[in-house]
Amino acid sequence: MNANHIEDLAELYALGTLDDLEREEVARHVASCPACAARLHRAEATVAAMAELEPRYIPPEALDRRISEITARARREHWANMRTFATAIAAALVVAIGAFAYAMTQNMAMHRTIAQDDRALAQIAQTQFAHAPFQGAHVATDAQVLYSKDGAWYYVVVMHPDPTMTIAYRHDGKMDMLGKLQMHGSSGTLYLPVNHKMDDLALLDNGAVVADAHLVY
Amino acid sequence: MKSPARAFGHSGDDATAQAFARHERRAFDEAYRLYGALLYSVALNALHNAEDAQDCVHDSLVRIWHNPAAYSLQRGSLRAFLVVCVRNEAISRQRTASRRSRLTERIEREAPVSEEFHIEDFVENRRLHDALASLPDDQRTPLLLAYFRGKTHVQIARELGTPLGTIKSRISLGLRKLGNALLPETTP
Repeated sequence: MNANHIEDLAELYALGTLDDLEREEVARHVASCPACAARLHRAEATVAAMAELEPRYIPPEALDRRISEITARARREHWANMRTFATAIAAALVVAIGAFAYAMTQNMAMHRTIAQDDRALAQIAQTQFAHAPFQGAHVATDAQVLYSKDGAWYYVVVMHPDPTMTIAYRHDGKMDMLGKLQMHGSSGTLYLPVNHKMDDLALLDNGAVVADAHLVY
Repeated sequence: MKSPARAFGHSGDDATAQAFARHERRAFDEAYRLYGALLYSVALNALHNAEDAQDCVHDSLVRIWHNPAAYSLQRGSLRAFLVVCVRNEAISRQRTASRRSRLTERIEREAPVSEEFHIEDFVENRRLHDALASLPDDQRTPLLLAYFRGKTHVQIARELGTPLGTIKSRISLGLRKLGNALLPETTP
């Protein structure tokens, strides 16, 4: 092979008389040399024309089927990929819609809580109030209740509560359930505009009393 | 079933070639419909065994299908590209089988399993025949040994007792003369 061009190797390549090493050299050169590529392609066209001189045969049906299977497989894979893609899109939509619905629900709950807290703050600001700690084995210093002196409202604040915690009014050996804590990050609150003087509130976790607050008027 | 009239023809090559270069499935199927018989014949004439020829065509086309960049319009005729691919595969199989079995090459051809004769390319064939006939013996013989026997230029040089460089030049010159007879309009 000439340093610049493949020369006679173009025809030898087209005829298939080169060994593997020579073929690789020619292929490498032709990839970057348009002049040699043109000579090679012309040689290949001549070789293809020589093929017309030989006896001709009809391919067996079995070969026809094998060849059609090449593209049929690609077609099946294409549609399988499309189905996978469609399934992924559908799944993504379901997740997105679910996430959106969840966000909307959370948003509405948050707005309800904020509105409730706003009412509590407005009442607190307008009235005289006191506060009492919840005392118990686990939450003695982490929970307390603010309450108006006339018993119009109560505002329970619990730091790091269990989200299932509830507040009850204890009187006469009974407990009246007042409600479940509303969570705000690491704290839980409950506003109770009950307009009734209560002197013993209980903090319950899974139905068991874990702390008590004694209110004085 | 493919149309015999088109099985060896060139009509539709341009449109099919363009779509083939874009790796379109329908173009691949159409290319086989147009040239399948030619490709099978190339393989069978080289391998002399129907099953081997089927495997050869199939494997060549699978390789081409999985390499979308293999053919581009700059390569010229799609027919020539496919024929050369299948022929190279056939020659490669022939040499591998030869090495494996240590058999001397078969010169006698098997009888065709099924044969069709067409005259659609009669003019081209006539030109080719005439060009072959007009070649000097020292060019025609090594060229025919290379094409029809699938021999390497090293084997041909040994068989004819001629220096390797001389054989390479003669084969190359002979093929270029045939090309000029077939494609005179592009002769430099």
